[in-house]
Amino acid sequence: MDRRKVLKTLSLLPLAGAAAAIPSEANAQNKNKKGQWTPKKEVIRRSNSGGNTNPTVAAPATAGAKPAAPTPVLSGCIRSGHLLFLSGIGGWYAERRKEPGDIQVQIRSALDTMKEVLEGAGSSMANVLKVHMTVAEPNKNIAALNEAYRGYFPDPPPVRSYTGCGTDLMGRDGILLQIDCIAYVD
Amino acid sequence: MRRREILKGLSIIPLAGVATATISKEQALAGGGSAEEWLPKKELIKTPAGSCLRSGHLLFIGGIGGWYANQRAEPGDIQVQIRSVLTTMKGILEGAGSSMANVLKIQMTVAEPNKNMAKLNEAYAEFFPENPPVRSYSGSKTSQMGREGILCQVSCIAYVD
Repeated sequence: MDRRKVLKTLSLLPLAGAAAAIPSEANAQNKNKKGQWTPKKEVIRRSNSGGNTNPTVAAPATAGAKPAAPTPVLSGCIRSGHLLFLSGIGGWYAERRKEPGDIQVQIRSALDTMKEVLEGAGSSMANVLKVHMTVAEPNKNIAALNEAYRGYFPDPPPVRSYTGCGTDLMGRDGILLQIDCIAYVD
Repeated sequence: MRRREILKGLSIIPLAGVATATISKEQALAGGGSAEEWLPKKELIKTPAGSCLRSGHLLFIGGIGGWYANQRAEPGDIQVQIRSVLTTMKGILEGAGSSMANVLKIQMTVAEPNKNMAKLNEAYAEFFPENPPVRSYSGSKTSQMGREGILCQVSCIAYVD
């Protein structure tokens, strides 16, 4: 069994050309610096999965309607090394709230979800490094958004960038923003 | 009184200095040691499919368009375009010693997303059968994609060992 594993590893090496093919036990003995950092890519599932509830995306095994819901199109949260990557979180999901609400309702809702996802993954809002947003009608909405946004991040707040677009270009009706982030985790 | 204060000050200074020195040493050890361990800082990797940048264990691939006239005569629909993008992405990643399975984060710009996202997702899912990367997107009009015919642009961050 062990021998087989070793052989498998050996045969994979030239193909992959990277230490990724070596199982982690082997890395412990191998003094090569490659492969020492973990996790390479870990999907954090226990938390509220943010973007996974987007109905334009196959949700993980929502009972009924569609035959055998396939694997989700995206993950809500992924850890690699000391970084956490979060999927775009929408400002409104029909299954969570009846009315879409205005930009302030939506940014609060999205940031509450972000907080939950981060804390579920052992991180926090204070650890957020970079935020990216898509905002519907930003000339009209960005000031009100900022008012609500401000309270969520302790000093210093993360860097941020955004893209604006029309209300009819947000992927589905009612949604006014989508926000994702990169954070660190210890 | 003054003398005591000065003495206090003196005794604090060397202590504080030692403390910071110790902490940074510990931090360095906890972080895996010397600075050169996270090489390369910024390396351009050229592959036949396109190029990307590596920094430490991360690979950054810039926005790949859904259509390039020198690759294909017709722009094609959103499914043709997302397949084309992800095939190029796969080529770059593999050329750089990584893979589609290593993709951590995807950012897309999609023309007319209300119309196109469902179809895009169908084709997209074929490329990430397990543990798909996180993803976010911005929508725009077809006329705002940078040039005629193009329906999506996709960039990514992946890891590489």
